[in-house]
Amino acid sequence: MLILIFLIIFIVPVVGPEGPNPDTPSSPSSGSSGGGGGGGGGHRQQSIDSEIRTYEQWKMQYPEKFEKLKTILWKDPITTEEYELPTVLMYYTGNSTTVARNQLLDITTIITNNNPLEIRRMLDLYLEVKNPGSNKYEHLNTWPEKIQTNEYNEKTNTTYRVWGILPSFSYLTTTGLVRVRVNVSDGVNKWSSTDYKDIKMPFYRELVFNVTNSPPVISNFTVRPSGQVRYNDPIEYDARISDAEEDMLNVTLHVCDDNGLDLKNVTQQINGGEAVVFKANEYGLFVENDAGKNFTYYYTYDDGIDANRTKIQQGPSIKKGPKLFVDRLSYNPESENNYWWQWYTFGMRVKNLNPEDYDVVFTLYTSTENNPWRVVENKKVRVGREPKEVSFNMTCPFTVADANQTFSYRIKYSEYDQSGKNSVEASGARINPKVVPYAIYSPEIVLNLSFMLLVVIGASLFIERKLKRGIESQESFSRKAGSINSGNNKAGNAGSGEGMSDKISSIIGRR
Amino acid sequence: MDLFAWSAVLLALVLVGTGLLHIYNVNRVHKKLMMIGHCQTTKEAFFKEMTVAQGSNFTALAFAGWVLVFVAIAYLYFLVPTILPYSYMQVPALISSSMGFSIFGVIIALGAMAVILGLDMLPESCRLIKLTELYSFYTISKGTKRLIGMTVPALCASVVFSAYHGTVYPERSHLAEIFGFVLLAASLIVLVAPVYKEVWKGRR
Repeated sequence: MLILIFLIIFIVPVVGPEGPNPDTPSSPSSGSSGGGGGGGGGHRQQSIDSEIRTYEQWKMQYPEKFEKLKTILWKDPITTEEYELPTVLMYYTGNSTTVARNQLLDITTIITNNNPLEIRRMLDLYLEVKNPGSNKYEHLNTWPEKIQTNEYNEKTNTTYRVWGILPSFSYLTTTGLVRVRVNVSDGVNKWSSTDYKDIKMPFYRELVFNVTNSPPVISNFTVRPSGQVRYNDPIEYDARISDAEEDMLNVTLHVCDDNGLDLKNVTQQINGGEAVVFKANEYGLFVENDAGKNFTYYYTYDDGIDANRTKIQQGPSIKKGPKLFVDRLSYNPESENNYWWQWYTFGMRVKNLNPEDYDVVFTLYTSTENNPWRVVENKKVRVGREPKEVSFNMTCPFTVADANQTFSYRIKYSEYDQSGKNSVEASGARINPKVVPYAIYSPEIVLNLSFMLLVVIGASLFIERKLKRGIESQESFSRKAGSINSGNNKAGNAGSGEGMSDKISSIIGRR
Repeated sequence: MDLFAWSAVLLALVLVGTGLLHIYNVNRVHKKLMMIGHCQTTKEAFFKEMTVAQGSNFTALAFAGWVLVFVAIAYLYFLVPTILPYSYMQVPALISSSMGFSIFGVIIALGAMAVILGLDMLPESCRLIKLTELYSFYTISKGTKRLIGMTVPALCASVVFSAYHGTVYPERSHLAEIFGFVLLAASLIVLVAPVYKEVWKGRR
């Protein structure tokens, strides 16, 4: 019992209250109170790490409150009469201060602080820019660039910052003079690099850049197709536009009448260095009433800073043309068997809805799985108001590879029809699977087989004449055999019926 | 395998069997000669002694018969797709040509002739595998010669039946197939009969 009382008195104070859980984020106050519990050195280290993590979380999650907290916890810098203001100057090694908007810059600030380390103050730097047309400097960095007291070179007492936040002036929408300086605060004093005097290159109080812009360049403008076109042809205006800064470009096509009077305009936004294509059909630039008129065009273009326009160009020239009405598309095979080798007649009825007569080119195509859309025949027909039959008579559009396949056919015309299309097509029948176009009794097959058999027999006779296999052996045999078998072994008369074995005795006899 | 495929196998077996039995026949006689004559003789000398001329006309007809056997086989089995997926019907240029059947047959005939003549150029020691001299190792009766001569028109008829089968393709004429095959098989049997007859005699 005495031992138990002894343990309660001496052990409980030593253990003390439990410290904070290092894994649970805690407030700064809880962290400091927990430290008095005597939880051991390692446990205290964990609490500090936990505090640091907590502050880092706050900095990320509540930046405004965190700044307020910093203000509350701010400790006034040491002030002493010995303190000298650090020198903060711009540094630039570029060849010229006239720069293009997209030219890369290397702007640096050099800070010289000759104060002893004990009285140095942390500096806050802001890069400030006065843009063309503006009368005030604006901070480029939202949060100050911190210069710590211990980061200066020990020998030269200098440090520097390269301003990556200003790689170029590509953000500018106007060109002109741009002034760049640094605003400094050491917690007590505020000044800027422009406050210094008598500074020599390559150090500057402020950097003054003359920012220029390269205007976009347009070239190679054409209208396709060239020559006379129909209003609903796929007319394309092509050009190539480039911009050194690769800005987003506005390109506007102005379609004018032949006197250069603006009729329509359409705009595209594109990146520099690309082809720009305006498809007339997409924008509905031309209508049926434009037939017979000549048009001109020009482009205006800008990169947001510089605007320009091209000279007036010619084109397109819209020709007058017919408006076809087509119907009664049909085909007739030579026979109902639909053999591949037979002729087929294709046709349709056509008339012009406009009053004039026009020459229209019609092209017949056929298609099967093995031979898709083959041109069969072309035909030019003069089409007027009276309906006319356009026929492709007795064509042979198929090959043996088309046998046993269903065919389709299409008639394409050089003008547009009542549906705005330039072709009409339909499905045909299944082509007969028979592949050989001749009957066994046909002259072709008789000739084929006769010729082949004559060639074989003739060649055999010829070869035998050359090789003389049927004579030489006989002669040699006759010489060797002498009179033994002469009666039986003449050519064509070796019909004694004796076999190979019978020869053995004659051979042995000769020996 | 259908009957048509079996018929092709049968023809192939007859052809291969003929070749093997011909070599067997010649070697058997050579051995016998060695035994009876108690002498050593070279194969070249033996072949010289063994061969007998069958006459120019007969040899030419037999040569034509053998070439026609290969043409008839091609017409029966390769004019339309039968036992193999390859056939004349898959060559559009040939089918479309008015001389397509003739070209097909002549190509096969020239191929067969090239093989036969190629074998004929082998040295004397290989004489027994020269198709041009197949019959010179055998004593052939007049009747057999007439029959072998008759194989030429029979094989021509077989070709005509097969050609008819081709003209009606993709329809199928079983009658034409059967006639074509029977005439081909009968002709082949007549052409190889001397070899088999010698085997039969030799066994006696």
